[in-house]
Amino acid sequence: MNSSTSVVATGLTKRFGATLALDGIDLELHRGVTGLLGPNGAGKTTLLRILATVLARDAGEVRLLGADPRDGSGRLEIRRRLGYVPQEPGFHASFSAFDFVDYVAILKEMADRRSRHEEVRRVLSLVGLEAVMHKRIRQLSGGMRRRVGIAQALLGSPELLLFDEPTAGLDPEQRLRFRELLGASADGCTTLISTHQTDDVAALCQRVIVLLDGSVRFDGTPRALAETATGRVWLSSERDPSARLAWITAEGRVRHIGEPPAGVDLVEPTVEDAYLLLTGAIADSQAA
Amino acid sequence: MEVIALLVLVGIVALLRSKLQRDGGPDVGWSANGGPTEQATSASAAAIERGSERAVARALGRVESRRLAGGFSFSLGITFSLLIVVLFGIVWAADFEERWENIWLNAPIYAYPLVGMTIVGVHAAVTRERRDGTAELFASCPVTPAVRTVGHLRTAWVPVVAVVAFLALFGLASISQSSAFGSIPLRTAGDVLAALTLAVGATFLGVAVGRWAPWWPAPIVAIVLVAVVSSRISGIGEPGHWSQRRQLSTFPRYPDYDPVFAIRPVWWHLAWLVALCAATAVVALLHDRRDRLVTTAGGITVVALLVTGVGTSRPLDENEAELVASMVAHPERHQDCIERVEGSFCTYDGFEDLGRMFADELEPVLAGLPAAAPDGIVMRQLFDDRLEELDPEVRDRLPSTAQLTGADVNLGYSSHPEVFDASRISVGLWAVGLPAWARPDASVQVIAGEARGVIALWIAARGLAPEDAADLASAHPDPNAADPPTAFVLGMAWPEPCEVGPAPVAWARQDLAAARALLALPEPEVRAGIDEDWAVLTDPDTTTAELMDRFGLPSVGPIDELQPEVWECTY
Repeated sequence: MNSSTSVVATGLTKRFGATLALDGIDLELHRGVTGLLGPNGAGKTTLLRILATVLARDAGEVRLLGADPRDGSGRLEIRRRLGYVPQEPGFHASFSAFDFVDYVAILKEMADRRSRHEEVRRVLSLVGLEAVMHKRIRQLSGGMRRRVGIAQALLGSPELLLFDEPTAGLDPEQRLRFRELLGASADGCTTLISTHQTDDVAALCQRVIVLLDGSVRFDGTPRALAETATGRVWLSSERDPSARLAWITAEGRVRHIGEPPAGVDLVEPTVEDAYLLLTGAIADSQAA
Repeated sequence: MEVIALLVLVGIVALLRSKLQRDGGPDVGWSANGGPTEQATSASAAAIERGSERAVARALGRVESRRLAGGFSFSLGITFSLLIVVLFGIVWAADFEERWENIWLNAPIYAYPLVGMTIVGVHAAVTRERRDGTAELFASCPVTPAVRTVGHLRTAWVPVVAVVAFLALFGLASISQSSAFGSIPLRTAGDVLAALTLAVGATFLGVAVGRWAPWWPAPIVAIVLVAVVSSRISGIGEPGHWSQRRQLSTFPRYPDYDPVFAIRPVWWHLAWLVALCAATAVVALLHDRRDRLVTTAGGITVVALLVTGVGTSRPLDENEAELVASMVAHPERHQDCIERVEGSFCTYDGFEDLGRMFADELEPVLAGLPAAAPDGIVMRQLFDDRLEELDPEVRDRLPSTAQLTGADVNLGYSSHPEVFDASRISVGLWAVGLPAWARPDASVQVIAGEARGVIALWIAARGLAPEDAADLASAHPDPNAADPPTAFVLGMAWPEPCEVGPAPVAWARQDLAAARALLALPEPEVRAGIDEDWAVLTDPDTTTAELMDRFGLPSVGPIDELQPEVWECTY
């Protein structure tokens, strides 16, 4: 583990009754932005909750920012350096955006009112909410609420940022803004983003992890993920029944992924192509 | 009524405003004031100093206090309190016809609505994270649930300030409106502090219930449970028999008789409430923190509960029992008297104002007594309730009821207008040699058709305006009674026994008609006649018909036949 390694997990296992949510995951996270891809039920949220110290693992070892979350003082140390946006963060609708973030700031041990309020204004300004920060959260749109959730995670410039589907509910422009924000503010810290948005991963992440059925199925750069589909993505004017997946593009052509027949018009794969190919292939192999 | 209407209006406006604010506003761009990239690069995190647990709890307490004070439940509690001020401090304040101490010992019960809504409000605050789905986010923060619990406990000052303001407002309103009398002794401070302690306890209970039972009906169940348990404790023991264990209730605890005969362990009770509060706080903390500090505090509060519980519910000691027994059996040793005309008005400590009120009211009656009437009437406050309602230690030291020291007239403990009417009649009855007051359970002496009963009413009405005099010599049957009034009711000139105590005698309605006829005659004429024939007219064998003949008044007809019965308060 080098000095930039913030998260080390070995054999990480979590079970909910008969369901194996995480199946002995080995993982290291370093400074920079890592995307966590996977279909619903893959174990992404479970992994993030364990890393956020709100869920205990059943087996395996985890060290976060050099501390053991099983240990009380270690857990405290981690939480002091952690920013977390849960999948469904929840808001106190009767609070104003300022009051809510201020409340979280207190829960992050920022007791001094003056400096805390400065920090709250700073993070709300980062997400562009300073003009509406004294409005009640119930008066804000879904996108603005998401930004309130992101703002609270940025309090105190944490070393480890965990986002569980932070761009869900954001419109394209807001997603773009989020990427910009994260690109600027996440510098020097370790950020893990769980998402379904492969284009977010492609645009934002230096590294991508694909999780499927509680196991890591890919760990590498977005480019490396995309390259796994090289030679397996093609366009044609009609749907090819041999393709694993096919859909009509905006240009009216049919994009296919799978084993291409000879002579087709191969195209450069995207992260999404590769992700779909990977998850589809695994599903097929399991079905077989 | 205008004030109530105004309050309701304010409430409706507040609700509408709150509803309107729920409607969403327009979206605001991500970069309302410069793009996020620009902001992110230009603004960096300030050096944030990490606060101690105490500092964090204090900061949380400030935030939660603001939210509690502005919350719906607490506002509703404030509204209830304002209604109490309006109703009891203004509209019905004139009905407070007792000592200030008796009014203020109810301070905790006046605070109950606010206290109850505080439990609901605090519970809502504690369970907010569960309700709004922020529990997971908060769990990822370094501040522990125990510190958050302390933050909620620190909001207790909000209901305390509200209760102080409410009681101050209530006090100011009732001072100007009520008919209360007497000074306010130091021990009243204990009752007021008990109300404030209940406010603290409500906060702590709201936190404890929120931590252990975070479901929305829980605070309602808790309030009902506390009310039922407190009510049950208030009724410990046989009905009509006082038990000091009733002091363990959070309800104001005092017997049916006037508290002047009760040794109320006000300060012990306050300590008991404080211990209950401390125990509740420990229960709240134990949900998330079970270290040595909290468990030690728990142990200390258990000891405190035991000590203060025993202290507040212990039987009276020998000196206390002797004192109360002596006050009951020998009131003359504990009373100061005001001498007026031919009578003495003797009251216990704290009732001097009432003694003066009686002296002023009865002065014309005493001055108007016939020359032949007895001299030197003694009017004093007596223990006029059932002896079995006293503490057992006091009862053991008392002789039988029949052996208790009496007085010519029992003054009672209230300044209710009907009490003054009863005392007038008592003086009249005493003057003609009839019992002037009665102990509980004693049957009335039937004086139907006896002239002396009529004379007594004439004496009682001295100094009154003609219509008031006629009213004094009239029965007041309940107009809402299901059954037609009996002959007994139609002849009862004694005022409402729940206000003035049991009736000593019973007239026939024909006697009351005779008294009103006599009152209608010129006073000098009647006075001369009574003076002249005092011995005859006050003789039990002289009839009302003979009295009417003596004054040349028309007959009132045959006298109703009455049977002796108990005429006392039935609720």
